[in-house]
Amino acid sequence: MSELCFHDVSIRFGGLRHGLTAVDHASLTVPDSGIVGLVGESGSGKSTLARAAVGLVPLSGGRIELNGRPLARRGPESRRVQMIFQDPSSALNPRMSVGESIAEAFPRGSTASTRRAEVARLLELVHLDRAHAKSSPARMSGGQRQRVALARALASRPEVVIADEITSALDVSIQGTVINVLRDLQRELGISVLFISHNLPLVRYMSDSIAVMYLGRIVEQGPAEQILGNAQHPYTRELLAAVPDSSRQAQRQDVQDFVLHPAVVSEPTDPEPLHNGCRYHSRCPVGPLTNPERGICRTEDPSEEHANEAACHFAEPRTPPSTDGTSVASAASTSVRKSL
Amino acid sequence: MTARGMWTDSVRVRYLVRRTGRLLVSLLVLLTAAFLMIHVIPGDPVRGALGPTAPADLVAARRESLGLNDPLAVQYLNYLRHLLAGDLGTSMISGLPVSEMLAQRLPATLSIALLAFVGAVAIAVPLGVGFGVLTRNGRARRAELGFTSVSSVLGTIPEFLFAVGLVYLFGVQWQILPVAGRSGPESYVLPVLCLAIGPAALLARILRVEMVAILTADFIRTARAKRLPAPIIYLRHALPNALTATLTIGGLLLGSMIAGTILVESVFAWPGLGSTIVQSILTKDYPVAQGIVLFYGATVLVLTMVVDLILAALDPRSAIGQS
Repeated sequence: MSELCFHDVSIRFGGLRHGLTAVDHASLTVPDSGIVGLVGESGSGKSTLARAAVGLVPLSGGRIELNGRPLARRGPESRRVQMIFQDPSSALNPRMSVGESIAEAFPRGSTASTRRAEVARLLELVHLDRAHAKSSPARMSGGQRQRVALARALASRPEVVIADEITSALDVSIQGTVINVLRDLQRELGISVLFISHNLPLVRYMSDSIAVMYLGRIVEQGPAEQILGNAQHPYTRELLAAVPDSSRQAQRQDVQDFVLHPAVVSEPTDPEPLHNGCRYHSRCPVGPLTNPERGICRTEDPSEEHANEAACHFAEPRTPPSTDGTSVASAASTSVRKSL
Repeated sequence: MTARGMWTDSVRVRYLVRRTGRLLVSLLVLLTAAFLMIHVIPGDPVRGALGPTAPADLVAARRESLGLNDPLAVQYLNYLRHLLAGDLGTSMISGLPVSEMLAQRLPATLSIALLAFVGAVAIAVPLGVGFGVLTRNGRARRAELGFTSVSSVLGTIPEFLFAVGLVYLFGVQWQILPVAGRSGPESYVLPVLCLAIGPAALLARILRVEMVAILTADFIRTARAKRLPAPIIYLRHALPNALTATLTIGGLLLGSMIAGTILVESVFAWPGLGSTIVQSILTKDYPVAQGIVLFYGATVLVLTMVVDLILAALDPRSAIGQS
């Protein structure tokens, strides 16, 4: 049982007047042995939310709980949530060997030989040769280093691992290796994973459920096939549509979309909302920009009483879970095939 | 793995050879400069040493015995030959061999220089690390301003001014510490303090800047996310990475500290090499002055090389960069 819960978490940086709300009343649950994908564009607050879970950023509101209890601040209990960072080239201390970096999080009092054996075991878990324990991070490739970072995170026997864009600094050919190692380990060890990425195909490959963040808000969440096949929030739909398709026809279609929807290719709005209403209304392709009668988007913050907890006034109303699962799944797969 | 190991080994050996070669060239320049010293000083060094009232035949005999009448090239070769045999000449005043005087005076100088260096590091490391941690990411701006201004003032005051000031305070005003001579542990306090304050301030400044830079590194973030205790983050993860520049400057400061002993020893009448060289210059005892100059110069050159080699061992890029 290892469930990580974000309850109504808010994170503010800076003072009251010049500050910035990076995360705004976000609630998210990473279920036991589940993989939750967290997607959203740069600056949406994904990493900030993740950093809060490992204590790098203080909370301004709400609480984060592991198995129903607040996270410990220090001591071995505090190491139950571990994070892997984006850039493996700088995430390891260059003055420490790989083995030293991994062994640092071991409990006190273990003997040198058990530490060595444990380091070797962890290295083999991530498909690295045990001889790498003595080498310095500078001698390893990016993919190897990222796997060391993974072994390092596993060293303290975490219940939850947060993977923050762990492949975006890697070569495409290496990404698959690292991702597969993470997925196999998740299955083998039964850890829960919060998988943060802006790469939707990767998130689809990894996750059981997906949460979409926009300007500090979680605008939609639900099972992966629901989000991918039956996206309720216009922002999610735009994210899905923005995944490039290598086929020629799709490229032509992309160009047309670009011409048709100038609103959605605009820069993200200022994270500090000077306006009331839906945070997405100034870019929304179905909002007041294209449908002037939808003034409610400018004035009222949408509730999440919709399917997929979508924070959009014009999302479908929440449907009872008796929907025909097969049709949703098939719709999801066709739509995914079309858009990814 | 082994191929790469051998490659780096050969790079290290080549660097060692090249660095030693540079040291030898520098030493030769130093030897030549010290040799030419007596020949560019205006006037006759023997006449100067023996005084204006000395009889002319005594001066001539002394010149002959010192070989000063030989051609310059012959003198130079003789000088090198004697040096290789460990013979630095004889004092014109006391008649003692210079090497013997060096051996006799060296411990006094070495003890205050080393104590001052250890003291400077012992003061600078906690201060630099502490203020680095305190002022990381632009925190505690007032503390940063205070620290940088105080340390830059302390770092630029010359040792002999410190010496005078400290003598006034501790020796004259409060009369709690001896101001001259080498007699017991308390006599070490003031000379060592004078030598240590400036280097300590400079080292602490550099270490603070390095710490602030290192503390923004990603692996520090990793260490924090690992929930390591703060002392381990700062001492095991940050400090070793911040030491490279500090060590470079530290080695150079040790060299300048040895030169600083000249002035400090004169102020405190410390019976070391520094006061001996000043005395020998005043009495025109040029073999002694020459020998001590050689010794000081060689020490600084060797220290610089040792620092370079330690740096190359710690950070092989520094060796490759100099090829």
